[in-house]
Amino acid sequence: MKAKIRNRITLNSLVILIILITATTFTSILSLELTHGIGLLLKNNNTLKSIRDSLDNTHKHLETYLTFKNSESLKEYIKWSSTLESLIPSLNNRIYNDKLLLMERNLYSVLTQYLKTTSTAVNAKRGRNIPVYTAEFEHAVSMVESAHTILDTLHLKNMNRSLYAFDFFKEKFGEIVFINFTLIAIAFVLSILIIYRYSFAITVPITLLAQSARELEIGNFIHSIPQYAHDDEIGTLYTAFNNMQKSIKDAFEAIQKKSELEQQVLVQKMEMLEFQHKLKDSELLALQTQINPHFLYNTLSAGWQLALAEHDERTAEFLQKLAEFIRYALKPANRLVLVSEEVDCAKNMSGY
Amino acid sequence: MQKNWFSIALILCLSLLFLVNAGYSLLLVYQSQSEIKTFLNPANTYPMLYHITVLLPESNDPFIEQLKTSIEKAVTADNGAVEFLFYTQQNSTADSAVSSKAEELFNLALNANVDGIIMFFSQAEYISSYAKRAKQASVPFTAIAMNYSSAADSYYVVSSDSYAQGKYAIQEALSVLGNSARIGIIVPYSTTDTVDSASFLNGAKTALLEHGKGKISAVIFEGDPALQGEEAGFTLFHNKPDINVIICSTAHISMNTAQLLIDKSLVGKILLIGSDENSEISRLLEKGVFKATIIRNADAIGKAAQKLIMEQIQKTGKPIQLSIKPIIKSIENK
Repeated sequence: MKAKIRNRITLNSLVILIILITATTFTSILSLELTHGIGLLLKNNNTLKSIRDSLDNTHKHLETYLTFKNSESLKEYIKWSSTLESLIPSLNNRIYNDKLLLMERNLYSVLTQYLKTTSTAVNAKRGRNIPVYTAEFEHAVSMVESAHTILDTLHLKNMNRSLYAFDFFKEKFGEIVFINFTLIAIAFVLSILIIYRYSFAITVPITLLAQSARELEIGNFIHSIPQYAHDDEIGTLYTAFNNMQKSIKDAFEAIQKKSELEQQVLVQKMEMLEFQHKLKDSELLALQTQINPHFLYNTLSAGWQLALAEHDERTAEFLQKLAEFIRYALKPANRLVLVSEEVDCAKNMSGY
Repeated sequence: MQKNWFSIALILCLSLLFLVNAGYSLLLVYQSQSEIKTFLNPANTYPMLYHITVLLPESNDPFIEQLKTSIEKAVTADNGAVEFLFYTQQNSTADSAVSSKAEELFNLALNANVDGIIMFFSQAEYISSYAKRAKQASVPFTAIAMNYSSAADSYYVVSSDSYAQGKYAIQEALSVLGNSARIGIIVPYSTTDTVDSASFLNGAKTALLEHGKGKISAVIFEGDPALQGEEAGFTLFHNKPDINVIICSTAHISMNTAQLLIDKSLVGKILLIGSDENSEISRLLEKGVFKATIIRNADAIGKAAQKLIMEQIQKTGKPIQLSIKPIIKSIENK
């Protein structure tokens, strides 16, 4: 027996699973892609925000240091200026024919110059060179203002450009979401169809087999089940069922034959009994035949003559009537008689 | 089992649909990715040789738009990248025609150490301070002004000639009406406008004196907002019903006044001379509403400004003040 149905069920389940996994994976990848896209759109703004935070903190601690000259502010200034310095390379420094990139280049220049200026201011403060650090600080303030202006402009322009790109993205996003839902729906319908198809493929032959079993149950041995072409578990079941049907049919036919034979024997026995009965009757008849009525009549007639000779008329009459009675009685039993004959016989017997 | 074919066909159709859907979905993702790539790395972006920052006023004056286009063309043609920064003039006071925003943007350009700055000034007297600061920061600087006469200054200046503009307008009027010309002039009130009203009027007066005929019946200052140009025209007609020429000093005044003439069915009865040009003015000129329009040559101004900046970058030229004469566009020579 080949386990094809089991293999098919396993295979179909795997197909359904693969369809669902594919649809889900596809949907997940698309969702991730969309999220990634939005992340990219906002990446520049995030970088700008980090730059602004670093710049503001650098400037705040610079101002505190230049005002109070405390080491804590200096440490903070160094920390934030280092952060700012590490962020600057993420900005464009080349000249392109793109207004955003040019604006980034402006920011790059301003921030680079700002860090140089603040460094000079800090060194001047350490050297107690008041005019220099005051002038450098004023210059730094001007550059912070410029940087803020650029950051605000860049934020706005980036956001506008992001929104423009997002509008396009959103349009596609809606379509992609719709398609994903469609894909999931198709995967679902496809899975249902595959399940239905194979459950149908399995249950239909079994149902037909059950119908055949019911026919067999009511003794319809000539009912034949449809052909099942596949060599699988159901095929094996069909073969077994066919064999069983054939066996039952053969057994039934054998019983039927035996019964017929027994009937024939019985009939023969009955015939034998009847024959024996007839034989007995024949024997009886033979015995009856053995009694000679004429002898009896002659005897009775001799008695009658004797009685007459003796003038015994009553005896003579008796013997005459007896003789008539016996003659009547010995007539064949199956002949038709007249009622008057029967009455006469009775009268003879009673002496009338 | 008879339904097998139907099931298989259905499954095949749905599978096909599945694949088509998936394919289309991938296409959409690709398009979205391309859009993001375009956003992050614009396809038409390429390196340029130098970086010029141009500071212009935020204005709906077509002259500014034409000037922007002209500078952009000139700089780009010379493999330069141009960055326009627009400043509002809301904080401008009578003492300073340069707004705090313009100041802020100028500082920005200086701090960014760009390769050159071109800045528009409606009042030429403020040029020197900005030019000095630019020189101090070693940043090439060219000013664009509507009228500049300080020939002694060692700055790079390109100016339109408002004086000539006024003069040409009068000449056009006199060429038609001669002695009988009774002229009304409408000029902007605001000192922050892109027109130097005083020079314009001076030019007009000079032309009248030179020709010795005609007269200026009234000068009306247009208020804000721009729609009041119509009101200014109305006042002009009301106060001086005998005028037969109206000279407008800006594009907006020209359009509003033309509309007033059309509404009052005065086209052909009053000679209208406009300033500058846009599609509407060109259309009205074609229809004969305007006799002529005196155009500030934004194209030549832009090219000259770029040329002066390049001379500074290449250190090949000397400070110079270029005055670009206006162009007369009339029905005859359009």
